[in-house]
Amino acid sequence: MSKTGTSANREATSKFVLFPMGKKRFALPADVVTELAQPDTLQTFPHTTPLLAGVLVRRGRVVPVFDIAQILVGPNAPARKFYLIVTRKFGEIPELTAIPVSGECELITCNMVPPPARLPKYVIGLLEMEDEIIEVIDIRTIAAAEVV
Amino acid sequence: MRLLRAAKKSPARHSEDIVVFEVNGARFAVPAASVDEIRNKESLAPFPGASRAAKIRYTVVREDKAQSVRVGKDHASIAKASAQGQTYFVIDASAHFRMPESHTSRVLLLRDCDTALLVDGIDRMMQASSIVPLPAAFSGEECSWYRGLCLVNGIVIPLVNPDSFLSKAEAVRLHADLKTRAVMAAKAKGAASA
Repeated sequence: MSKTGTSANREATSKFVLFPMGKKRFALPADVVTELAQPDTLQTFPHTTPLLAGVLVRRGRVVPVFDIAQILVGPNAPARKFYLIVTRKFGEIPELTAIPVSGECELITCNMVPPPARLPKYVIGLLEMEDEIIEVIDIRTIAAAEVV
Repeated sequence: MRLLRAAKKSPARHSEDIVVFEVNGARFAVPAASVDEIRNKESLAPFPGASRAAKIRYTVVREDKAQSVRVGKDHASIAKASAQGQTYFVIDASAHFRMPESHTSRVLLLRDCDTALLVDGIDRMMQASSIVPLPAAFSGEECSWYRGLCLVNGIVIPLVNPDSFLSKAEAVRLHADLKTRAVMAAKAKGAASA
């Protein structure tokens, strides 16, 4: 999914889920978000995939936990309280992934504008709120981003 | 906040007999059909030249039932024993899974290969009624380490892939290395006695 193509596709009014990460808020396109889940038992086992914190078992399904806080806000990321369950696509195969977030989320309808070139590639657009500009995150691209 | 989406069909799962073992407090499973024997550490012999951090620091010989031999701890006796049994290269599970060194006590001799696995202990043998594929989000070495994930009463236990511990090429190289060292040790012993 190219940055330009994605932005062009989403210039019309769309739905987004805003999630807090410490003092900042970020957004994900609502069509990738499945639910906001209460804190659950994180289960871990040895692996070498960056950003994967472990797995959750949700309704009998194993859901990997993808901790993007280190990329979004750096090493001093606040404690995460909830899990945003999103759908990631691997080729054509969709898979649920849990993203730890630090507070409650909000569903909004808003226009997304293209991001300036200086922003990281995983930022696919900006939401201009009254007193806040919120970065819209592409969950596929952020997986390839390096930890701050 | 429940937003949308109907529940999707769960991925394919199947059941299998497994042996659950522990390494550094973490639990792993290995297919029971892949385990030939479980032993204590008494019969381990140091692998010549292995460093303390190496993944393979020991060998173990499984004697032929007809010719039970006492396995010594020097190279010459390893060679002698090897001629009368099967030599297994003992993989330290903690090193293989990039974990800190652990307090090992058991050795799992794997079937149809030259690999044994050094672990902290055996937790249980059981039938895992639900084994699911490793999620596609995992993209590192674990993709070869694990065949899937066992779900046991809500607990996730990775099901190891027995073939991932040692490739056939590595086994051939290790056997050649062991043979060379044994020959050299025998020659040195002969020269010393002469």
